[in-house]
Amino acid sequence: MTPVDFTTFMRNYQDMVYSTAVRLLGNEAQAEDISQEVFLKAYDRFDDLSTSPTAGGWLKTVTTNLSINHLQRYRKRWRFFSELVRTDDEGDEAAPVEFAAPDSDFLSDLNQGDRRAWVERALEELPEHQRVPLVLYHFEDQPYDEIARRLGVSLAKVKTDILRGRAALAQILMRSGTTHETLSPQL
Amino acid sequence: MARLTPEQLEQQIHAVLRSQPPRRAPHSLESRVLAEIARRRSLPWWQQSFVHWPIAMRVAFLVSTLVLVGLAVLATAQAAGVITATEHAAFLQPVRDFFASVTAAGSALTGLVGRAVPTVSTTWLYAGLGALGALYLTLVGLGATAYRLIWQRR
Repeated sequence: MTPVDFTTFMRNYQDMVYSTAVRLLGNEAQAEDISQEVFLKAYDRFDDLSTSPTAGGWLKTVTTNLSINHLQRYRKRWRFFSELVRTDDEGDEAAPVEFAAPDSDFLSDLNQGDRRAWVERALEELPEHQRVPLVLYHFEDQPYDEIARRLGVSLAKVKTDILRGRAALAQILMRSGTTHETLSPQL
Repeated sequence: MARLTPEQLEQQIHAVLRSQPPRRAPHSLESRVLAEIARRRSLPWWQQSFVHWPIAMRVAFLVSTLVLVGLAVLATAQAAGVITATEHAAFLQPVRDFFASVTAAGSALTGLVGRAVPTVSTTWLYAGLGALGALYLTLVGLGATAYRLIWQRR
């Protein structure tokens, strides 16, 4: 293995790894730490990964696991699980979610560049107990039962959190479409 | 205002999220990773992860750990009165026998060499040592060539 080989490998996958981590964690500094840890693990297994067609899948799985472990490890500080295990959310996954919606696409007022940035910002604004299952479901294509098993919560709880996360995300995006706030340049 | 059903909401959110491009990783990530790799490689082997220890050291560590754990278990069992001193000695007898066998083999080999060397001429002795050295160097050369040709190209 040469450093050049590994650098090329890292450049090919670093955006995917970082995106996965930052969307789950909602924090850029922590996402960079997790991404570094992922690539150090990849370096230890680079003899296998460099020729593996499933290297991308391996990196994504490790990133997801490390990000969730990171959230769980510091759950007391972030009150992650105290929100995840709230009992008042149990059993109401079938309840309709009502909110004021525009006649057409709620992002139609934004251009493509603004839209991308607003979506990322809206995801970061969601509380962890909604953002994590939402990201696992929509970005990682994980089924409800797998998300529930991975997070150690009930299936009903996962469905409710994802449903409410979608509604909250839509409301944040609707607000962004009407207020036209300025965005920070890095987004 | 219209109200979206949960199914419509899921479809719209899914479309929005899946159309998002990947976030660009910060420029500092690559340099951080490479610096950490360089730092780890500069560490002596005993400060690195166990999987990076030399194979001989890993074997020696595992064997010595097993021996120490076995002795600790025996000592604890004897102290707790679970086994007697006689049973303790019986447990250790195979270990003693093994070390006695190794010692005896070493002594026999030393005696054999000690008796043979005075009868061998100096010329043959140096020739033998030279042949051994040449064989050793050939083996190392073949191993290094095979490593460069086969393993490093993988």
